[in-house]
This record gives sequence, structure tokens and C-alpha cells, in this order.
Amino acid sequence: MQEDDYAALQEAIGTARQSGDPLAIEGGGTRKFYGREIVGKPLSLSDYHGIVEYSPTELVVTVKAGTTVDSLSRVLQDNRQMLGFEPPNCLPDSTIGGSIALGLSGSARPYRGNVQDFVLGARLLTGDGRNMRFGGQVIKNVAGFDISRLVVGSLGCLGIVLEVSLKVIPKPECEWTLNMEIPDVDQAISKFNSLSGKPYPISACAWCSGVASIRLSGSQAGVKSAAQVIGGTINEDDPIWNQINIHTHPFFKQGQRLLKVFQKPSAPVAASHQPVLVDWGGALRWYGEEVDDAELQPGLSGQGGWLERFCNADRSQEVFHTLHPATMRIKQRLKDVFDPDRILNPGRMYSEL
Amino acid sequence: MNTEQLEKLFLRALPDRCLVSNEAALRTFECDGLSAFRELPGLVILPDNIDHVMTALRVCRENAVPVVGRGAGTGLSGGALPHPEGIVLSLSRMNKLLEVDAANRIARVEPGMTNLQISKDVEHLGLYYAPDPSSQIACSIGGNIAENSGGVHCLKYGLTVHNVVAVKVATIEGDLIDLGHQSLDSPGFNLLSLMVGSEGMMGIVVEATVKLLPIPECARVVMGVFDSVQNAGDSVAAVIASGIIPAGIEMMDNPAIRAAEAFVNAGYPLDAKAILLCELDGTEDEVAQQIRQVENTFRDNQAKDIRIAKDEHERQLFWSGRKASFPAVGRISPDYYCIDGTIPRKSIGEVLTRIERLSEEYGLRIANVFHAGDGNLHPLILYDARIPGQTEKTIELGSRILQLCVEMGGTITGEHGVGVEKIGDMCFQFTDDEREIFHAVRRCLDPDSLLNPGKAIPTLARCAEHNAMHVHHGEVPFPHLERF
Repeated sequence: MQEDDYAALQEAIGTARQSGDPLAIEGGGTRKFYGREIVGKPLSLSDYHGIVEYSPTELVVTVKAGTTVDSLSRVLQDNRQMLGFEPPNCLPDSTIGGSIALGLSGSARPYRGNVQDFVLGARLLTGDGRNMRFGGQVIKNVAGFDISRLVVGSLGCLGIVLEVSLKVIPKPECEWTLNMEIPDVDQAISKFNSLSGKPYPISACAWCSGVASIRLSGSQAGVKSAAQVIGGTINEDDPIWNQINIHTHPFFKQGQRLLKVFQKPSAPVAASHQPVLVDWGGALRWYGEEVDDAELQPGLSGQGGWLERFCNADRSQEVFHTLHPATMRIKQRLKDVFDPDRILNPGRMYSEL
Repeated sequence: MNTEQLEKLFLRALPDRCLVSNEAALRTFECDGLSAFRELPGLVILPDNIDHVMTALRVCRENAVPVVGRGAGTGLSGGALPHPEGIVLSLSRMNKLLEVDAANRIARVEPGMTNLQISKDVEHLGLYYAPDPSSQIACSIGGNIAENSGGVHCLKYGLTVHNVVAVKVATIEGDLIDLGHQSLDSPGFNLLSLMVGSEGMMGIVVEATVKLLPIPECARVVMGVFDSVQNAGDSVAAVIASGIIPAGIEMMDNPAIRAAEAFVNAGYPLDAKAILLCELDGTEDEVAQQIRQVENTFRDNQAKDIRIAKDEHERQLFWSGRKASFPAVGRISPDYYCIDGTIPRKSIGEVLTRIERLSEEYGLRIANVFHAGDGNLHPLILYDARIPGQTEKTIELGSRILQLCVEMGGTITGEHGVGVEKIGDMCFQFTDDEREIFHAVRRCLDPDSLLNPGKAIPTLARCAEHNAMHVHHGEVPFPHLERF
């Protein structure tokens, strides 16, 4: 069955190359809102699923792209392990392939790393039908250029990720959230930064509507002793992290344009642009549609920051931060290498790619 | 172009203090840490600043001169081996700390700054830079980025790629580009990860922003002594399975134990088949809890002795033998050759047994020291280069060990890089298509292949030749692997 599915993928690529009609690569089809508008014939990978190899003592799992995040998480959970990047925006049908293509990381990003930090290897089917494996299944591996991390977050524009090997982490023995009222957002961010510079087992820091939430994850002993020093109200199972992760938090339920702004964690918040939700200890700030993104972008570039029009923007226009012409040129050349006929998700990320 | 021609060319563009052209001085640059390979460079350029780097690259581009970037020259795979008709661009003078941003836990540094110096300069803030290759006292951050260097603490804290936030790169096409951001992540294809570990073949890193971590409150080490390598290997897997990620977990086999003990008197048991050194860090309470867990795990796996370093002095003593193991092996053999393959942890026992068999087959002694937590082996082959043919035999044995690593689902290099040393071994880890893609990706940043030419990725022709050499009794090795 799976071999047939692979043959179907090869055939779809062959047909697209001949006709020049592009393909729109899909996983579970749950995150179609992301990126620029979708063109091309849908090519679903949801039938191409399953765990290829999982040895809990290796802390490595290899899965096919169509495997749902839910089903993989359950298997990992049975072995007291988890995905370190806590893939966000997942519905029950959301797949691992989709999570790799989007490259989005959850609230633990500043503390545990981003999606590519957990990618050890990937099998890729390129736009000219070549099936190749990069990286591997071991944590330390510096043979060859790092193509498996290059494709993370490339929105399918460099190839179809068929299979991916991920480093997994032990599920923390204990996880507490400390909540404290801090009405001023800058004060909350400054608190996050000073705590993050200390050796506490912090795994997330967020602020919304005057409340700062700090998550501690680790051994019982480590979490307890840190909680005593930091203070705040202890919640042993705070729903806020899941609400932020799957966007059921009241902030997200507005059906409006949402803007993600990435800044140095300590960057002060402009009085004219108050974020509604702050995550990643200050490094990720969410804004609603009252903020004019075109006005915000130039200022950000000068401070090492950038933005993303996350949803409900005009998708016929660019939705991601403008790239420097020299890096855009390199990225266009990469597109030519991996997808010379431009049949894989053309324009989903940038109109030029 | 010869030295005289190169010197004339570059003197027009750069101050003469940046040029090294006399033969005695050029000798300093003829090799890196892999001294078996030597080549006199045409010219060495020591830039003071980014403008000098960009100027040097412009002259190289306009005159098709090959460029070999070099940090501190401590690399172990010949990545900085000079090109006889090219320049070595040595970044050693660009070694300043540019900015420490304590609030954001990052430091901006020049590429020639040494790895350890970064940690020293931010220690007063309670912060440090995590990757710690064994050469950290001398190696430069630019070199670490080129090689994606590792170290003892990779399992918990990651490799260089996980600890570099952004780089400024001078391209051979004359651009100065920023990859990554001081904020987290960046839009578009992930060029930062591509740049890290690209062995100087995609651009010259002229500035790096690295992540700083809080120094753990406490670090303690447990030594497990085992009667069999298999039990030691099983213990490593069992510690991980129990949900603990040690800061480091290292294994040494009997020949390595004996050599180290004779050298530094670390208190290692001479009759042990293997020892494990397991370091745990975190808060005091957390470490105390994990020490107990590790102790129980070692005991469950038939450790015949377990020792816990009682204080910082003893912790350093336990580590001293491991840290000195390479020079220690150097004392018991005229020459040694260090291999750098990685295997899945579960295969440690089997691989060590097969390495022992290979050692007998070749009649060459092997001591094993390795980062057990991440399966990164460092078999040290002991040989005598003065005996005719022994160097060649040693290199062949090394290659057999690397093939074994690939066969077990691992890789030919965990942290030392491919360079010139393992370029032939790349032929059995990657297919023709994969190697072709590597070349094509490299040309996206270096269209004329002027940056470190001939390193890291073999040509198709070279692999055809290499594979022909390794046909044994008419059979290709590992016919069941699809890469053949």
C-alpha cells in the first residue's frame, strides 16, 4: 500500500513536470491558512504514514510525513517521551510532514530549541523526482551539508519531505506553572529575561492581559526548589500552554488578522503598539489587526527583528518579512536546484520562490 | 599562481602587514590538526577587519584564486589544508568580543575568538557558551561554525548549530549577508543551519552571535566500573531510558583506561573492561536525585564499582583522565590516528566487539574513548609511521571502522568534519544524487567553486575511483544498503 503511495507521488511529480501545472502539497490539510495563497493541484501525503523506527533509548524516532502529530505523540507518551518543539496549531489530522514544512515551534522555543534543532535527518523527494536522504538517525553527524535542517520551514518549496528523523526528549517528571499579576508588559518581559539568565528549569514564559505565566519543567526536586525562589501562584496543570499552542486561547478566537512579531526578547514594547499576547519570554509578540504591519516592518529590520502576517492577511501579497536581495538571490538559486520546474508549492512562501 | 604573483596582486589591495609570503612563515599554515596532510599555501592573508576580508575575496573572485578559510588550525580532518595556488584567509587577528547582551543571553564575537575565551569573558554574569570541543582552549568560534563542532556536552546542550543564533557572512560574490537574527528564528529557507558545518565552502563567517546559557548551580560526576563493554553500553541506554539526560556521559575501554591512568593517576581501576563517567548538572536537589537514579541504573547493569566524586577536586580528577586520554595514548605509541564515527547507542557493544576483531585482523592496537551518550566513537589506532606501509594500513583500518558505523545506521563523522581526510568515505555514505545536490547547493553560494575547493564533497569521478579500490573479492561492501 505504502509503496503504491510512493509510486503515486513519483507519478504526480512526473505529470506536473510534463504539464507544468504545479502541485500543492498537503498533509492533513489543517493549516492551509498559513503562507501565501495556494496554487496547484492538491497532492496529499496523508496516506503516506507510519512510524518507521523508534527506539526510546536512542531518543530518536523516524516517521513518514503523513503520520499525525497526535498519533506520534501518543506513542511517545507511552514511553514517557515527547516532541521537544511542541508543534503548534495542530488539529487531530495535522501531520508531522506539515509541522516540518511550516517549521513552527511552541512556547518552549527559547529554552529547548526550534523545529530544526530536533531534526536529525530527512528523506526528500525533489521537484525533479530525485529521492534522497540527508542527515541520519544519530545526534552527532556532520557528514555532508545540512539539507535536512535547510528544508525545515520551507513550506514544501524545496521538495516533499517523505520521512523525517527527530530527536525526542524525556517527558518532564514534573511541570508547574507560576502565575503572577504584572500589569505592565515591559516589566513582565524584563522579569522573564532576568529569570532566564539563572539556572532554573524554565520551559516557557508568556504574558497576556496583565498576567505573567512561567512554566517550570524537570525533576520534582528541581521544579520545587525553583518555584520557591521565583514565587507566584502555583498551578500544577495550567491549561494556558495548550490554549496558546492550539490557539484556543481567547486571544486567537477573533477571526481577524494576526501578526507575529519576532524581536530580541528584551526589546521594549512601543507604547503605540501594545501586543495582546507575549510568548517565548518576550521574543514572540502577537498583535491583532489594529496594528499596521507595513508601518512596523522597516523599524524591525534595523533591530534584528522581523514579522509574519500569520493569518487572514491578503495572501495575494507577501505575508513574510521582506528578505535582503542577496539572500533572496541565494534562496532563488536553491529553489532552482531542488525544484527546477517550479512545480512544488510555487509562491506559497514568497512570490519569487 | 605562485607566491610572487599572488603577493603582487594582493599588495595592490591590502596593507602589507596583512600578507605572509616568506616560505618559513608559510610553513606555519601548511597543515591543521591533521598533520599527515601538508601543503604550502601560495599566500596567507591575515585580515584585521571585515573590509579586508571583503577585499581579499573580491581579488580572489576577479582572479579566480582559491580561498581556504582558517580559524585556529586545530581541525582534525584537514579542512584548512591549503591550496598550493591559492590563499589561506586566516581569521586569527579578528578575535574580539564585540558585545555581550546579558538580558538576551547572547554574545556577538569576531570569528577568531577562541571558544573558551567566550565563556571566560561572560563568567562574571553567570553565563557560558555550551559547546566544548576538546580543543576549546585554542579553537576559534569561526572554525567551530565551519565544522559544526561538538564536545562532551552535546547530548544535553547540542552542537554548534544549536548554539549559534546568527552569523554575518562575506560571500565570494561580494555581499555581506546576515543569516539568522538576534531575535529567534528567521524567515525564508534556513540558510543559517546550512552555513554551520559547511566547512568553509559557502562563505567566510566574519561575525557570530552565540547563545549563552546560565551556568548550572551544581555539577557532579559518577564513575561506573564495568567488567564488560556490553554492560557499560547497556547502562548508557538505561540511564537515557530512565528519563535523565546527563550533561555528559563518556566511556573508555581498557586500553584507554590504562594509558590515561599511567599518565595522570586519575584513580581509574586498571582491571576494568570499561568505565563510564556520567556528569549531571542542575539545581542541588535535582542533581542529588539524579545521582541516586544513575547509581541504581549502573548497579542494575552489573557495575562492579560505583564512585561519586565527593567534591569539585575529585570531579576534576575523574575528568582529567578522560580529557588527557589522547595525549596519554600518544605516550604509549609512536603515532595514533583518531577516528570519529557515530553509531546508534544500542549498537555500542556490537561495534566495539567488531572493532576488536578488526584490530586483530590488521595487527594494530586500538584504544576506545568516546562520547557514549551520543554514540560518537573515537577509536584511536596505535601505529608507527616509521614502519613502511603501516600508515596506509592504519588509514585503511580507519576507513573499515567508518564503513562499519554507516552499516550500523550511523555516520562517518560525528564532529570532526570530512575535510580531506574522509572525502573518500563520503562515497559510501551518500549516493551520486545526494553528492550532486551538495555540489549544486554549494554553487548557490559559490558559483565558481573558489571557497575551499576539493574538500568535504567528493566528485563523481573520485567516488568511482574510490569504490573501485574497495571492491573486495569482486564484491561491493554492504550490497544490501541501497546507497550502493
